[in-house]
Amino acid sequence: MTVAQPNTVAPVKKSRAANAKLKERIEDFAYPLIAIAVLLLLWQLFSSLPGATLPSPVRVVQETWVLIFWPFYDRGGTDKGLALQVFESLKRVAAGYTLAAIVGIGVGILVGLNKGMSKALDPIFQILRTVPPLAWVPIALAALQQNQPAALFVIFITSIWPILINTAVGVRQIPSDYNNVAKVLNLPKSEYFFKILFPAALPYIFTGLRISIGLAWLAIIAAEIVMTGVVGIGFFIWNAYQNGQTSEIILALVYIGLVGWLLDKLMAHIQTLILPTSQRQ
Amino acid sequence: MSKFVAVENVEKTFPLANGGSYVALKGIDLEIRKGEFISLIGHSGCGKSTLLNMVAGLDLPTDGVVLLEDEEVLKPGPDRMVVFQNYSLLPWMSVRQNIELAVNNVLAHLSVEERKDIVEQNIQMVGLGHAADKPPDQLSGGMKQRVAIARAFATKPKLMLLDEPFGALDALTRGNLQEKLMEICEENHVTTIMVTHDVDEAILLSDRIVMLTNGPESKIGQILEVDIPRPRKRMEVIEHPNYYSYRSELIYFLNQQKQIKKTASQKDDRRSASWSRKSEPRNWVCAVNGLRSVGDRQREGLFCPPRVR
Repeated sequence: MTVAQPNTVAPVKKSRAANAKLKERIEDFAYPLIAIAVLLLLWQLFSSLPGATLPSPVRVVQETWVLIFWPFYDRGGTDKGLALQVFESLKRVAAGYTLAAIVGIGVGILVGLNKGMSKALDPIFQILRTVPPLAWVPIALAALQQNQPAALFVIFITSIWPILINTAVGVRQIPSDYNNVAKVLNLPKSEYFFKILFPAALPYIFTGLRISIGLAWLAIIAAEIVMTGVVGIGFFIWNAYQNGQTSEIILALVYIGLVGWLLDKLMAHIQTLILPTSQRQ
Repeated sequence: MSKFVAVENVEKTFPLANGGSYVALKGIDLEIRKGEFISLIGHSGCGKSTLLNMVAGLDLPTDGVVLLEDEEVLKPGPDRMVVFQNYSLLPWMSVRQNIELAVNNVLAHLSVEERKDIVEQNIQMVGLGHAADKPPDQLSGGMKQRVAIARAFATKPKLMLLDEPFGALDALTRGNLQEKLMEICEENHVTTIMVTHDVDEAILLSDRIVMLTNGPESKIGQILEVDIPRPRKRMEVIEHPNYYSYRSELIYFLNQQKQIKKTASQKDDRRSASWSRKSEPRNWVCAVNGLRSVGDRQREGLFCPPRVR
């Protein structure tokens, strides 16, 4: 199987492979940067046309440089730097999302194990799943009366469905090999749950969690926009719109996009840390 | 009481999607003595894995009984360990943890130290000391199957059931593992039933080789006693005067079955052609088509889990 190779060939091959890899890395960085530059240029061109309503990128930077360079300033009330605003929003996401993960995985496992329950509840899940975050806001406010719990509820209710549905599917799709091992060994229920069912369903659960973190971030912006007087990136946008500060809205959008992207990357990273290779998708 | 395992008049019928049914096995009678090594050989789809699963208790016969020490087999249990072709190791556990899971559950009456010793012994027995803390994903196919064998033997079962254990391995690895398996079986005096496609493997390992006819309604066509003294060595077995007569007997049987299958399918074609002319579909054709989905383990892997997004 392992044939001894002449020593002279290996290093040349290696350095060539290293070079190719380096080139690829540079391309990985350079290409997106070029695309961004082209996009900014186009934006600059279009916004300098007569009748343009939105500010050019240069003007955005000019008008928001205080916000860009002092993300942590705090002048009390809702007048805070963007990093602090984002942090407040993230705290809400963390609370609502954690709750959604706990309930979603728990109910998902029950539904996945119980055929009758799955049949009964699946249509309800499928319908509720499609209700957009913004549509939940009025009912959340009406039911809970207060901004903070309403915001948490909106995050919870938008992000729970992918977790729940994926967990249920994951439990239903446990490979028969694993179940046969459990049967032959006569594993007790608790042992089966922790050693087989949960780890076997974990890839599906992670898929759900990853979709949901994006939805939760989506939901918080929607929720905060409607809720006056809370510190958070959503309300910051709404406030800027009320005051006609379009440049600040654009900067906030960049922040929202970056944070959403980072959250997704974070989940993907956790996924690769936890799952064994054969279970990764 | 010489019979250890008894398969009595076992029949297995699978329901088909169209409401009909497919008789995979019919009238299977087999007695196995304690300590015997039995091979089941036959063409794909002849129901040899189904028979093994019924002895394991993973599947129940439609008719007839399987007895282990005069007790009816109704569900799977650790006294009948199965080694699956695809190893069935849990990828989220290391080699040691995989074996520990089995040992800790099956031999729960032993002390922690005793169990630990058994785990280590079995890891050493299959020569995987250096890989004990690795996850199965980092092992080769042969190493994975060694883990599966160690896991099965560690629980000290009365009966070992091997479902094409070396089917997915290359010839070299297969040869090594066959010798290892023989060694382990002889040391532990375990009664073993193995499903295989491989004629040489069957002769090398078995005391008796059970040949199954083709489905539908497979039955035992012939039983071959392999009278070669143990301990056996691969090279010595090949040079044994009876080796080639055993081999040709098996191959003759398998060829004969192949011929029957061929003529049967030709007949089917003619029949289904005449039926389709009359545009009159019969269950029978569907039953034959169903063979592919019912037989062996081809059922698995057909199904791609839909991902919900």
